[in-house]
Amino acid sequence: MRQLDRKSAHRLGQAFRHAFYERGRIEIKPTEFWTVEVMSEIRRIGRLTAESDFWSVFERMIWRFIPAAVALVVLLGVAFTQIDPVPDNIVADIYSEAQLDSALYAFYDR
Amino acid sequence: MNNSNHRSSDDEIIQNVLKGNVDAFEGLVRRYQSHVLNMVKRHVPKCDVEETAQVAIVRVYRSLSSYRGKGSGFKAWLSTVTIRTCYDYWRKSYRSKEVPLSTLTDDHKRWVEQVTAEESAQGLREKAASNEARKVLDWGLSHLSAGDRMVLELVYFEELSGREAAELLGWTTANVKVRAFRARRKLEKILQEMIEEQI
Repeated sequence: MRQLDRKSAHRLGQAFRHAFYERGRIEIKPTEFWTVEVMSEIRRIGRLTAESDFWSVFERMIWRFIPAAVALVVLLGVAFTQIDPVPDNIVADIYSEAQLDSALYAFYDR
Repeated sequence: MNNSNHRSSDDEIIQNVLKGNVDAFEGLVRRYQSHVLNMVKRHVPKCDVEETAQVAIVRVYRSLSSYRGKGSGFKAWLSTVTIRTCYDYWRKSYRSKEVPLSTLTDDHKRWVEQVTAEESAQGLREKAASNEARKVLDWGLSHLSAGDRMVLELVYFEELSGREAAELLGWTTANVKVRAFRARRKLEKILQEMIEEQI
């Protein structure tokens, strides 16, 4: 048996292409039974209602926004690790108010 | 002119179906059933052609609301759905391991030997028309993945352009070209191994 060199591979490719084409040449005629069967399946599914239409559109829209939503979650995650959730001036305010309160209590306690 | 009439007629039927007239869909089924069956026949084993074509038509019906009537018209959209149904057929078959990995007989191996040695184009055509040709081809394709199989059939056997195959499969043109090249290499390797086994 010979090796499958470039020329042999080309011949095999041609033969396969021809075999594929030959198979495609045989025409298949749909029978009435087949058509009736297909239509009975369609009727079993029923009307394409506005509700199913709405949900299919909704589903498509949801999937369209998924990459943006994931990117937003990642960005927010990074932002939370980078940014201090309680700014320093608020901490300072709370601290100073607490000191003022204790000073007032001290005044009335006297 | 005639084509545009045909297309607007398709669109009219579709609008009718979308308004709730299920029976109107029969007009589209009767108009395109031969097209679908003959398309499926090229990619799916004979015994499963009718069932796969039915799945394709049901799928067309279910997703009719997503057809927007743009591009090359309903027939092109129908062809896309049909090819993707054939692709899904093979994906399902491979997943459930229903693809028959038949062994080749000595006659088939001899056929490969004769084809690779054949010099005349006429002789090659005669050999390609034999039953062995289809059997060896099916054997080789059954060793490929569903995607490789479909892209090889569309690009190398049906001789569609990369863009046409990409539209049918829903892949990018670059992906089709790369996968078609790799699939052809894989098929050659499989046949090479079969030839070496014979030695």
